[in-house]
Amino acid sequence: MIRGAALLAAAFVVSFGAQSVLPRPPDHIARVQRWLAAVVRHHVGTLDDSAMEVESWSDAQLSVLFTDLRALTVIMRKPDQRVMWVPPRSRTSVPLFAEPEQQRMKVLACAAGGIALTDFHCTKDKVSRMFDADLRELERLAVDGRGAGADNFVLKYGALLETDIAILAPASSSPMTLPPNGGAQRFRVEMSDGQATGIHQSAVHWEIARMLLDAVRTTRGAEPAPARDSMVRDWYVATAQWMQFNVHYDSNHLNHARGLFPNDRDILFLAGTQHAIYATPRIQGAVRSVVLPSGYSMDARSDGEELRQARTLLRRALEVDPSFGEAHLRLGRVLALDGQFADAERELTAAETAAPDEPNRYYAALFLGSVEEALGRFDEARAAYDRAAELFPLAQSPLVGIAELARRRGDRSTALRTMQEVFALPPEADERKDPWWIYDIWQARDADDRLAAIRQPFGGDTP
Amino acid sequence: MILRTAFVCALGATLAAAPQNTFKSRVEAVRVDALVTDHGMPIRGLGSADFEVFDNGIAQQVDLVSFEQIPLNIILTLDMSDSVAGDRLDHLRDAGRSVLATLEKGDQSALVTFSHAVSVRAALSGETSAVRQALDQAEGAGETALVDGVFTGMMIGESDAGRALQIVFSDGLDTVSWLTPAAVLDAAKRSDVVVYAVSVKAAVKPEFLRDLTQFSGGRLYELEKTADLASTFKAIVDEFRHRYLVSYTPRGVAKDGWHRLDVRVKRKGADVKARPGYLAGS
Repeated sequence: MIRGAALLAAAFVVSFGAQSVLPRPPDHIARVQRWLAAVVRHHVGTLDDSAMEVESWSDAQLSVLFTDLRALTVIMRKPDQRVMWVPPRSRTSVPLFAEPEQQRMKVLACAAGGIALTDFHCTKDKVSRMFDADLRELERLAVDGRGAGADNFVLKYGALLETDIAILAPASSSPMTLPPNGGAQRFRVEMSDGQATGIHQSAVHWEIARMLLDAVRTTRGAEPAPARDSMVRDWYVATAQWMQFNVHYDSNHLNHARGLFPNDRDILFLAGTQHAIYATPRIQGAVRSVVLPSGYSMDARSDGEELRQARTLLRRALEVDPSFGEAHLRLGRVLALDGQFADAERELTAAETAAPDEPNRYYAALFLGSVEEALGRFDEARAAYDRAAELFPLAQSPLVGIAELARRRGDRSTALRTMQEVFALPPEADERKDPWWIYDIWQARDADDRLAAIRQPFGGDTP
Repeated sequence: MILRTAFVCALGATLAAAPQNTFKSRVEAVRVDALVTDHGMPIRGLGSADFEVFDNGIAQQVDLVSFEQIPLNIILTLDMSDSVAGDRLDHLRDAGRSVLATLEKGDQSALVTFSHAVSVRAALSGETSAVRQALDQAEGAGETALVDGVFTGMMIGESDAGRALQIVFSDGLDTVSWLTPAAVLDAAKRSDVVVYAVSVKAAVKPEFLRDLTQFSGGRLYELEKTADLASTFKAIVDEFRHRYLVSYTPRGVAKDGWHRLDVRVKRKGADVKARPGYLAGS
């Protein structure tokens, strides 16, 4: 819902190395094992008991889990690998795990990697004798997955478990913990009516999902190569769409996606639209009204800077696919907001021709109305507004546009006559259907279908 | 299916019957609403000879000055977005009713509400019952199309030859209007409608309302709490009733473009508040 919209601010995804690591409770390896059991039992696309168990863990527990799972992704590829980290104010790396913990992680990693009986370091220690029923099942599934050409069972199923929790569980949040104390952290700025209403710490499910998918490798490759995996690419597109459709903005998500898929037209497009959204009054108002603790900053910049970034990314999307109609539309709108009306007119004209549906055709005509007006071509502006009004006769935006245009031209009678139509619109807002009101989510309208398509090969519902 | 879902998500429920407005003819003379005070107290009894009007620096012949006896057209333009709920909604309804209670014979009222949708809940008429009923039924839901709402209220004011006062309330920033603030400020410069606005103090200043009230010769009130809304609305009407309506036919000035206005009163200590100018050619 637009109400309670959330803008992710400083998402502190803390990596190994220069950051501190949370004080970890003695049972933190047991939590990794419980998480692996949840992955095995989880039915993708649902908020089942397994998902609810993970969802119930605190932000701090999930933060520790993030660190341990990251280590797991390393050990499951190289069971003899000791994971090191650099404590704060130190130049010397030290082991992340004490010896008993390292051994326990190795057992879990051998199961998660499906290598208990094939990897020398796993067989040497006879780790399979230490498996419980869940780990035996995990190992079997991982082996089966590799046999089917998918050597990433726990990574992908784990990412989908975290995705389901992030999407399907009610949003939970807690007061900010200051100062940032390691692991991974995520903060949300909540807003309403263009003003920030609160800032909270929230669970790091998206961060865990991204981290797991970063370790995905190809069937024959030894090193992670997520950019060569179509499921990873589709996951980023689907989840980024879901975030935009549900007004949960997360720049880190799309920045990470762009790093993996720098020439993907859909990811470039969604990154461009996100910057354009960040330039809107509802986000800019929140940026101006939020009070952040020192050391934190919002990831939305000034409207001018956001428009510039949007323009760059949308142009790159069009370089990849010049026939991408919606990219022409969004670029045209951005150019118009930036005062580049002649260029905007060209993009919007192309968009109107190539529009895949009525709302997109409406947007192009509506935006052309304002662009032609700015260019002083009032007859063309009126014609464009008329086309928009014809597509959605109950939409108020083209009508107030026509009235304002007439008022500007000194044609008061036309202005008043047009406003009569506005006065006569149904008072019930949901009877009016002005696509302008949902412009900032329309580009993400396929989110649910895309998510279902992602889940389907993993046992989720058929799209 | 998605479109329907999206709209259901984005929109809020509202109500009331679709109203009908009629439009009447207008005069070409320039009208300026002017508040004349001495140490904050309205000065009464002034006539044409007491006023000096300069249009782009050229002294004009004041044709008519009216005071108090002119019926008012009051357009309530009220924010009914998400944030207007609970006590705030009750306060807003009370404030609307307090305005209706001040209406006199010949006065008219209308009600415009805006969330993301702008709705004319009650057309301009002398019957207050429609406005009262619509106030009772209105609920806050959705985003804030303040700029579109103000433009709609302004056009209702222009639809009748009477003296129009638009009272705007909003507690948030505009997040979804189609029209730009600049376009509606431009329209305000061409309009006789005087806009008074009330907002709730927030971290982000209501720049649009500040500029709008300045260009129209009205006033912006920024309240700490909405419990003061009713008294503020009532004070606005009281102040507006104490304004003079000064009219003149422009002479010796260009027909089009921006006209800077300077309204003075030939009395020591008199302070005049009026719109700073108007856009001619419309």
